[in-house]
Amino acid sequence: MNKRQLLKDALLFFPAAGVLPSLVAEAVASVEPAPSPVVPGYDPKSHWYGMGVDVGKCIGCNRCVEACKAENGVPEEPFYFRTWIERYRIHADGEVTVDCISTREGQPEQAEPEDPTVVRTFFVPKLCNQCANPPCVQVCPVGATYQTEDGVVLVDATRCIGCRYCIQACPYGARYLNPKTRTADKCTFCYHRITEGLLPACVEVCPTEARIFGDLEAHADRLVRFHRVNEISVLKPDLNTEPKVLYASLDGEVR
Amino acid sequence: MRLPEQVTRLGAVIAVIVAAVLLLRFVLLPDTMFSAKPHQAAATAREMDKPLRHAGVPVCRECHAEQFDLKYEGRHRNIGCENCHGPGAAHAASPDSADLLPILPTEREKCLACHAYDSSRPNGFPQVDPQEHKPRKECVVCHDPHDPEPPKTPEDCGGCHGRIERTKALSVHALIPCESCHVVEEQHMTEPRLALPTKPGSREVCGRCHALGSADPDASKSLVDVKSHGGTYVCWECHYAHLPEGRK
Amino acid sequence: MNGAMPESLYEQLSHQLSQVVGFIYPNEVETQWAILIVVYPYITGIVAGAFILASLVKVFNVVEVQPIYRLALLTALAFMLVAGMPLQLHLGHPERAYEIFFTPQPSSAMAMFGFVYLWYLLGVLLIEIWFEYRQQIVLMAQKSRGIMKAVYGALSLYSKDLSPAAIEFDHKASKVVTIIGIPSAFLLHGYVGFIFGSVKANPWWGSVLMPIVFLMSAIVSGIAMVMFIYIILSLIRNEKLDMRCLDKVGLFLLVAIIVDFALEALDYIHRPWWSYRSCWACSCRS
Repeated sequence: MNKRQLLKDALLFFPAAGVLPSLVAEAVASVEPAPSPVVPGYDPKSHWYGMGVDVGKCIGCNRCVEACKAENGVPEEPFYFRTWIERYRIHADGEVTVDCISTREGQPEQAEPEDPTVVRTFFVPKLCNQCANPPCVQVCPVGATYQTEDGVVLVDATRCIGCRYCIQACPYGARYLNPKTRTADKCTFCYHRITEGLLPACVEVCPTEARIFGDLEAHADRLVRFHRVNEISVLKPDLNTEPKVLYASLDGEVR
Repeated sequence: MRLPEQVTRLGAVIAVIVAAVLLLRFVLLPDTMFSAKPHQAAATAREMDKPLRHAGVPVCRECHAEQFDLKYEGRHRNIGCENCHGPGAAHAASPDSADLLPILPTEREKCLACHAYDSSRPNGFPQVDPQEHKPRKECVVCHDPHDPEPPKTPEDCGGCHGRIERTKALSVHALIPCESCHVVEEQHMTEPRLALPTKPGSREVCGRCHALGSADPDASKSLVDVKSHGGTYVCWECHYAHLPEGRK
Repeated sequence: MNGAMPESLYEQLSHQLSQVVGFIYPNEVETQWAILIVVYPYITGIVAGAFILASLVKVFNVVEVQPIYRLALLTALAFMLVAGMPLQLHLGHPERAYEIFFTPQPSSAMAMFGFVYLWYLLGVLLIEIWFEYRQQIVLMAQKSRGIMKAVYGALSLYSKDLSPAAIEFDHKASKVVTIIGIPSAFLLHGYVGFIFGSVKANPWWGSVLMPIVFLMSAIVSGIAMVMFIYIILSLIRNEKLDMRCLDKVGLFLLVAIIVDFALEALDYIHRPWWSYRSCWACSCRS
């Protein structure tokens, strides 16, 4: 081709090049977030959610696990839990037996014969601790899991690539890979309920008030009192995760 | 110094690649493609928008005030409706729809999930042995689930103190009745937390059988001088009276 | 709503559950990082190790190893090109993998590693190989015709200078890139070790020694792989093995194994020592 043709083509190139970025911008514009929150008037900055668990009150009925699965569409198979109950049996010789009662099917047929070597035995409800310094958020390579301003750790299922790093990084075993969406999944404190002033499903159905949900920023809140009057422990405090699920009457043998 | 030809060519290729990347990143492509923040905000909004499955007690109360009032001061007052009746948000949204009616559980398994005896349950929680307590009879026949007052006041301590009773049954103290050592007011059987039983405040209670000079044949191998034995502690602060022979 | 999960997965997990002795969290019955994530560090280890072997020739002037210098570089390149495959395949959403480069989270070791990997591939390995092979590629471009001429021409970036000064420059540039490449190789596989070592949730992984152990293991497997390929290739080509070279490489391998074993032993000994009465290292109760 000759120089004239080349120059003509070069001149046409620039306006043509301008079309491309705007086309791309159009395509990407659908990703822009909704401008206002779904719940009108909800200000995430004025809340800091946590949960209290009174181990001395849990009767191990497993209702919380069933309610959570129903509320959040958690797979029903016994390998995926947003919350679960562990049973601890501490024997006189120091031996500790732990099992998860949420994975078994229904009640055992017969009550087991009493074991006199058991010194202490109790149930421990567990769930995502919604840590203030979450190791799962730190390791997500694409920022698909993040902490909201009101202290809840959420997962964006449209961006999670399913690398499972967050599941490995969680010291509490709170996360799992949802086999249907193939993304990481976990307890969200029933975010869709608490932002409307309702209780998480597990707290809603607990018959003995072993689970307390609340707002640590509030002036009058059941959790604030729980935080004041009980001797509070958290799970794995040495890992610097700053969990927000506060346990009362937590035995030292609980991991 | 003149750079060798291959270096200028390599340098040119690298420069083109770097320029292209910078151009795409900072000029041509929109910033939202390179930041997680707008996506997180959208994800939060989507999370808030998820459907409710449990309605919550205030919603149930709007139509079922009678059951709510019946439950309000009973022993099940702190149990949410949906604990037994299952998620009810769909029913609350379309109350007339027959497909969405919550379950009305009357089978034994529902009540036994909480009340069947389990040694890990906390002391004081009412439990039954499913094979001994009216087997095959539905619980709701005698106990109204909204106001589950037992038809008769329990005489037995083992209903709420099952683990203690079963532990004691294995011990040398098996035949000693609870009232022998614990002073129990009648009110404790109906309002347990308002009238707590006592534990012996002195050594004389155990001393009735275990003091030196006692004629009790079963205690003959474990007699002590009550005044000097055991420092300053009351007997049960060291000896577990429900299983005094120990757990190993 | 809650639906059924794939039958094969359910069977696999039920089987795994039956093998559990003691207690683990119910969500952890499923092994999250399985064989694909075992294969991946092995492959990057070979990449780093093969490059370290090549650097022995270029920077440390171990002339006995010269015969397998080019093989080591090509081994590194070949494995580097496929190292990403097991990662891609294990993802729940492989089609979203590009997000690691578009929206990386700086606090995530995995995200930052993507860029370390790119740097090593583009900024070190490819440039090193290009300088090493440029003379040969230009010669082949001159000798061939048609499509292969175009291919070789493009590969040589259309440079044509084959004067002794230019070749001398190629050798010098190669040495400079190797000098930059050695710490880059350390960074590459040490970083993979750091991805595991920084996971405080898993007491079997979370350790300061992990990046060092990974690096030494990389050197061991890289040298071993190059030796192995060299032996196989010599068999295929019916060539005599250069025993002087292999002896030297074997010696380096032995030293590397001893150091690697010592570090691994340290890593394993300190765990039961710490777990005695420690609640962290003993958190898996099986």
